[in-house]
Amino acid sequence: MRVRVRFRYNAETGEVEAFVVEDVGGTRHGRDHDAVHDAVTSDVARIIEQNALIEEVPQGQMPAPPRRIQRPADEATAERPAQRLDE
Amino acid sequence: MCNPRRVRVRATRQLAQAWEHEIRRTVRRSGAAVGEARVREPLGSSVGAPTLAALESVLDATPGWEHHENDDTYRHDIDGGMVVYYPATRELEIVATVTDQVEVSADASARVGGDLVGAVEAEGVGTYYDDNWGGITPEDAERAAQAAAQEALHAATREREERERAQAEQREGGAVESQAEERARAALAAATVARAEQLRADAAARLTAIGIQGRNLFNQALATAYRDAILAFARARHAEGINCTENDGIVDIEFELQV
Repeated sequence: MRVRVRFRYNAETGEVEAFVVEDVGGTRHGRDHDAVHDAVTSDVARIIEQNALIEEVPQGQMPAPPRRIQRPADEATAERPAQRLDE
Repeated sequence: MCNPRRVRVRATRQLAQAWEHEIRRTVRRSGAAVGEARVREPLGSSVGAPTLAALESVLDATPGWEHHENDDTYRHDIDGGMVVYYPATRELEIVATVTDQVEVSADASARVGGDLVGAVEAEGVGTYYDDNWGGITPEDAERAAQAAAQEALHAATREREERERAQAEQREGGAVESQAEERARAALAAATVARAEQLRADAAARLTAIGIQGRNLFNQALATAYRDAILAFARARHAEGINCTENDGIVDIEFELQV
């Protein structure tokens, strides 16, 4: 399995605006797949936040990659929990 | 004008008079009164341990942050306060301070006195010329010598009294000054406490503004700590496509892992 990790921190607000672990390997879902994904997500998340809440983001609701993120003023302070994205 | 003649008169006075004197000292003292307001917030429950570990290295290397080994804190001064990070408890503290100068003065006095006793002697001189030049007769010279002798007696008496006063000042002045110092010290302590209490309310009113500056400074260091901790993790896991950008306080990191 191959995952892409994306992280965005805003020093102005002091908030982690995005932390996403996205499956980019094209592997099929299954019990093992989800367990491995959860494990690697937890592994990275512990760097950022203790006891991070990991949520699975359904396909189609995936946040844009950081380079493309447009930050409207009303979203600038929105804190997002660690997210697990599956294809 | 012929030869001058001098008439000398020696006068003696037996002194028996009392003298009294007030010794007074005023001491002025000044000091700084500081009103302080603090708020402390925990970080340990929110920020990950590897980031907090990286944070100490970042603070060590960031200008403006000073590590105080005596209480193991990192401090950054702000105009009107400071921000303090406690690594042991993983807490952030915002401190607002308002300072003002306090001045006080205190007096102390003591009455001293004594008796002038004993004899004082003085001499007066009068001059005339043997041809009575200027119409000055030997009697005139005698009167002038008497007057000068009396004046000299007064001066000698005043000098004795001044000497007694000066000795009393020297003898008792230290104690009076100590008393004034003690009063000034107590007055300064009381005034400082009272002023600090007034200033505490001002400091509390500024705490929000100081907090914004303080958290901003800390968040900038935290951004670097996040970056260092995440990149260290990525490199340790042989991540590929590592991309890290920092613009206007926004840190974006992206990488891929084969797991």
